Amino acid sequence: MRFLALLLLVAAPCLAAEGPAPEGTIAEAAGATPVFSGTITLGATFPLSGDLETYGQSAFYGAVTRIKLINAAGGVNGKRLVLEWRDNGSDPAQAARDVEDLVANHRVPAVLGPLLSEAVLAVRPVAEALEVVIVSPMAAIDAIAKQDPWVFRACFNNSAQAEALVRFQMEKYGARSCGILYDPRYGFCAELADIFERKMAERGGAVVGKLPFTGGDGARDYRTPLLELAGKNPDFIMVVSYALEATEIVREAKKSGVPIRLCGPHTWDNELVFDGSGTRLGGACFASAMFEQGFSYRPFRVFFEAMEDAGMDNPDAQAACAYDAVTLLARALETGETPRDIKKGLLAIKRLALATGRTSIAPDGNAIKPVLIRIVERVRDRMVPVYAERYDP
Amino acid sequence: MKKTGACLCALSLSLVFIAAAPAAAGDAPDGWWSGVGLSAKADPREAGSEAAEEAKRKLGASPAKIVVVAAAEPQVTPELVEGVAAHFDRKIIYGCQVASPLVTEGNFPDAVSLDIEAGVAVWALGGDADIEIAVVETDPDSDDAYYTAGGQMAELLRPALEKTSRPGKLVVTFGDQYNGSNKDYAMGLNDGLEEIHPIIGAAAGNTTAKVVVAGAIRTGVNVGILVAGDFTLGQAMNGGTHTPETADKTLAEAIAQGDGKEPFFALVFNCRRRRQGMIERGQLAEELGVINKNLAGVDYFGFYGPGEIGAKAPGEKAEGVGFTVVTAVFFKR
Repeated sequence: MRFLALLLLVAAPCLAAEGPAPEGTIAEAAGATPVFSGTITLGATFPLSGDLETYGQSAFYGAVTRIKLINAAGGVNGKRLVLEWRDNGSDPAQAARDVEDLVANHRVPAVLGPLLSEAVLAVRPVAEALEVVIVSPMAAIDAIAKQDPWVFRACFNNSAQAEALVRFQMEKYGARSCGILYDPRYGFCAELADIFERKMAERGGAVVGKLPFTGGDGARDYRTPLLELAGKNPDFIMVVSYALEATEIVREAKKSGVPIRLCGPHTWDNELVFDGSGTRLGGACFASAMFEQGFSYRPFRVFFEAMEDAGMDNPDAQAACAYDAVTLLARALETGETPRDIKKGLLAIKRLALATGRTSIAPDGNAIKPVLIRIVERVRDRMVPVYAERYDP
Repeated sequence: MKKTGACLCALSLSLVFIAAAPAAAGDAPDGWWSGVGLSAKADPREAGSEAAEEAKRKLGASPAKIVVVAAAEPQVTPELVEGVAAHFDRKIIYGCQVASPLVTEGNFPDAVSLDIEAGVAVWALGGDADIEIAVVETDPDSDDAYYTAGGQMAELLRPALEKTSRPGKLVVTFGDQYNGSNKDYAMGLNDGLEEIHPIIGAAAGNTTAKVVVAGAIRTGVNVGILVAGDFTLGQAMNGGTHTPETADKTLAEAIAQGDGKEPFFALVFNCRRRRQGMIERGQLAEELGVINKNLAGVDYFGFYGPGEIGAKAPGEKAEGVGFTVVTAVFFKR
């Protein structure tokens, strides 16, 4: 129901339906409406329902807030930004169909999303065939990157977050060993588990075990691998999972009395994890694109205040990355409005001050940017993620 | 506090008989005059006056060259400055809001809130130390505000750093470079100084943090103080683990750099989030005990704040960090 409330808040004037819809258009500017010379329609496909809706809803909110800010400031090239959006239902195949539909029926030159690595991999062949620009707010799998890209991302990749997490554990905690628990159903998780293992070895650390928590039939067993890893007494356990599984693993760690410090990827930076994991989450750290409320860096301050003004009191990393993905596209559109112009504009971005830190776009579509580390602090019975460290590229 | 021969003698004797005793105060160099005071009074004027009076008493006969005030945010008011100015020249009063002071004469082990409501510490430094003070405004509309501010601070302090012939030099800095921005600020400072110089500091808060500058309360500024004298420094920085052991380890590492000498003064800056975690776990009194054990008999000054700046060891570049304890301990050359 959160999405319904958000949608009504940010997009009410544009929607005829009363409930969550699978698609829609958002175009209005906040405050006094400037005079526009035309419109630029961007596409979007987010997981607004399904298993991964918690990410999609946050990202949608961030993207829409940024579009409204841009339009309120006069749009791009004097034109109003319009967002034609789709709910892909957390289904990679649907995300690919969404891109085809958005290009065929709305002639969009660029699409925001999909969010998650698996969906972006499914969309990439479509994007290449149709020559449409894709900017994913949070897909981190290294395998997306490719020279002469049509697919870009606004967040860091798996290699960058693994490097930062290993450094943080080793430099701040003096960690020398870890266990890795991962979800082999997802390419993102399997890739990150491999990279993490390699990064530990490169820094002289030991991986006591790398165990999946799902079997070939998709059945999940957290307890057995957790206890096996804990029995080897590593300094920490890296849990490579999406949000829902993270909450279940953290709860299982408490139930099974596993005392080892937990660590997670950027997919942990979501309110489902903070609200649903219980107090055992305290002390855990994870990679993130988010600073924290009160942070002095101007672009983040502007983002945070805009999200608060829009009614989202605790914006998360998905909101920030989607907000930044819109900023990247808006900057690229200044180069021109065809897909090839946008692609050229994105590839020209160097050290752009985004809410999630200064970002450059590499020739393979990677975003070169800081990786932040957040620690979860227990404040009475609330789990509060707070900024702890920043690793610049 | 000017160390006296009699005082040192007494401490040396106690070490003979209590072999396991922690560090005792070392011999201060001639010409080092320093005093620290603390007040828990709620009224800002009374708190400022009480802490300043105590600092002045310990400072002794030497006139103060700089006075640094660390006070709970609600107390950073003109009345606080009035209270301190009852004992020191208003023009040399600097300082900022803090989550909680951290000083020799006691602190707030029973505190239950992230940022205390009342608590004022004053550090007065006089004697023959060379002091240079610089103030830099941060530009709220700049995306590079803190790197730029760090660079400007370096530009202002560099002439004094180059001019002084004193062997010991330390840049102490505080202001609105909140955790995260302090990384950019420290980078700007390092780059601007061109050479590696010892730097220690902490954030008062974000862009709304109240900073005392020559007796006036301002926001959007950072203060830098170059302290140069006849001392050597031990420096350490540790973070990550939110337990009292982090403070213990940090102070022990810095003190060990004295090669057997005991420190005569220390600056300690600590993370307010660490403090919050320790409050949650009932470990705050233990951490404060650990700090006092390591610095037994040593005057020290600092505070818990939202971001620290320090170096892992002497000769290393200072970094802007969080969740960390940083210290600089002073030894006689």
